[in-house]
Amino acid sequence: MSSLDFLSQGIIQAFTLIVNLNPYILSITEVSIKVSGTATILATLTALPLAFAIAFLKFRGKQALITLVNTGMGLPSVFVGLFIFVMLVPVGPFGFLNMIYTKKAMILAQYILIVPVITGITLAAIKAVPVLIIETVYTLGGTQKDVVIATLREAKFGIITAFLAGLGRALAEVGAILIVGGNIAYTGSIGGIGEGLSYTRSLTTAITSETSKGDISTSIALGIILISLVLSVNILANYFQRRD
Amino acid sequence: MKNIVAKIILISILITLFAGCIQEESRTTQISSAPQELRLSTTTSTCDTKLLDVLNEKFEETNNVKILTICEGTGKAIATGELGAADVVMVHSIPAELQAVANGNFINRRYMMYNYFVIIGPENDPAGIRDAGNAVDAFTKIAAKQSYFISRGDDSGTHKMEKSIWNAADITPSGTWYQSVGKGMGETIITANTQEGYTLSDRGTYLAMKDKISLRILFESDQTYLFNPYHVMAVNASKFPNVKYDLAIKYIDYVTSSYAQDIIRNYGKDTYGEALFIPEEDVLKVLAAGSLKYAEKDIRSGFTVTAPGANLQFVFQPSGKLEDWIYIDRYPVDVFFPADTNNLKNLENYGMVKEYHTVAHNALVLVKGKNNTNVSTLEDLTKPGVRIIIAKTSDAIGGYTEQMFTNAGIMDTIREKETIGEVIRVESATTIPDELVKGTADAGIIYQNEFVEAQKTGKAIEKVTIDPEYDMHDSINYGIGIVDTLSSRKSEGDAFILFMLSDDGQLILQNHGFIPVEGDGKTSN
Repeated sequence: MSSLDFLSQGIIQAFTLIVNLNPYILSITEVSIKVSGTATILATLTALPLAFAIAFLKFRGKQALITLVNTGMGLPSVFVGLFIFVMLVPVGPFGFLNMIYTKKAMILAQYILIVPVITGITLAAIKAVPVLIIETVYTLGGTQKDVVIATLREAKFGIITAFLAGLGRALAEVGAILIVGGNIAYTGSIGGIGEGLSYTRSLTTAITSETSKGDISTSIALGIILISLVLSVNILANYFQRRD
Repeated sequence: MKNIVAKIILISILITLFAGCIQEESRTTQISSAPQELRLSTTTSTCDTKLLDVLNEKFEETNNVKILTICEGTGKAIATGELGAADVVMVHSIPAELQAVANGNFINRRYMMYNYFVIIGPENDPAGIRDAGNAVDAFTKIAAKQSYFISRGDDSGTHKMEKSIWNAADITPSGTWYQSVGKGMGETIITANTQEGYTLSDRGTYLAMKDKISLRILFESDQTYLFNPYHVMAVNASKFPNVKYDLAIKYIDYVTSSYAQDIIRNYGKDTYGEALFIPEEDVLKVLAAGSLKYAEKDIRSGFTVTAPGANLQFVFQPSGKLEDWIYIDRYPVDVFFPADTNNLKNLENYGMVKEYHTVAHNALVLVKGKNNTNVSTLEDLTKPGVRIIIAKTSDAIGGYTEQMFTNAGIMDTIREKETIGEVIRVESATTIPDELVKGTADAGIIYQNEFVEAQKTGKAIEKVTIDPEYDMHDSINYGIGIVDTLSSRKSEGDAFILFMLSDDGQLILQNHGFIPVEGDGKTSN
């Protein structure tokens, strides 16, 4: 068959799966959203105070921390995956936690990957707050605490952008969660689309395995969902960036 | 200010980690009706063919278990078990499995099913492997033509099999024609399809993908190099107390049960017109002493004459090890054929064997390098300066050798020689002929059948005549018997035993250096 037939057949079958709310596909989507969503929320809880600390406080090792954040942004995801894997296997130092091949391990891996991302973008947002505003707060008799609050208010759209950037990165991530999660599906869908639901199979890891089996229409269905999610996140981020 | 911020950061990191631990607690205090989890790490072929999707269902229902199947290559699957991250492992690479068991990482290894590898490639077959004599020949042709060959490259069972074929062909594949992709079987096939190249695949995965690709099976019937057996084994609970050992054993019992074996027997017939795997139940399984391996081919062709449809498979290992596999692991077996009737006697005492026979004898021979001039009798071994090479007593022949020396009245002198370094002990007597050729020692003691094989391969050693009174032929008794409690093919097993005891069978053994029995050799009632 021609490549056009091949593609169109794949896309039609993909839409059929999505429209029929195929349970396997839905469960995979759920894993992606749960894992990436949780990881991004937790990462923001760490990244925000971290960014503010770097922006406003003087402390020893600040430069080292900044370097760490910058390096962190470029961390290869498979490296983080390998690191977490080695830490969490039963023979490893944290093996007693029994966390290997679970969604929790996937959340941890993504958390580590995106904390630097959110921190970096928040830092940029903080720096972008006009100096005039800071000076005004001091002129009106404000303390450093008041300045922080004012900065938070001014930078809120930048912070939301940071959160969304982290979420987008997490949704698209595949290397680390493949290693620590194992791409596991319950019986019925071990070898691809079927009766079983996903356990640690996310949109990205499922696309990897479905494609390698030659199940292109399932892969395309998953790809359509993934790109829709990422697009929505980016459109939202764009909106908030412009409001800034 | 600093303190507050630092505290906030610390708390948020702790929340993240605690969230994990607390949820962990709630997991373990769940009500008992929630399903248990069993982690199965396996190769890609068992996953990609969707066999496990059908096979695991009943087990999950019956035992209220959710099986978490991790699909990775054999090498990774075994490693996952060795790291304690899985409870049970299902793979297909015998050397790797045996090594892992020897390392104490797995126990209860059992045979589950098999199929054959196939060499697939483009319909027009540029390297002409359709005419190959065997798999090694086919690979040689591909290398000669430098046709594209796609390798798994991922240390999987398939990859290991591929490497062993290149090894046998004495070829180290390299060049742009040889592509190592480091991927699973499905993906490798797709790559080969795109490149219109050759690849080695298990039959199951190929059949499952046949409709999506244009590659076809070009070479298949090589029982030696393309045999693809799958085994299951449980992770050793004494190394990893947290693994679900009991559940793993239950799973292993399940996949070797008649119910599961029947699912395997039929899986694929509807969709592909043929079964993708063959259950071990359909095999006449003979567990035999390693020394018998040279006779396999002749035994096989001889037995096929009497039983044309027989699906005969041998496992050759040291007899003591086989006895352990049978008694401790309940390894699927029909006929046990050890180098010592005591192995069968032990199983008889355990109630696993009802009846056994002495089927042949072996004898010890004194051998020396062809150029040696200082050893012409057994007593010459006691001469000062003569270096002797014999097996450690951990190998059965080591014990027989010491008995022989004792009977001949030279044991004490040999012991003295050992203290001054004139006696070399080896793990396995099979290495002795090569050492004598190299000149590491002057003379050694080996089995008569090993000597016959050494002569066939033209090794430069010769036999020193000794008094038959000392050659131990009455003491080295090979036995054969059905393992009643484990065999599912008793009548076929009986036919095999009858064959080995018949004139034809005895002649085969004699031709390979063993000594036939007199009478019917029946040793127990």
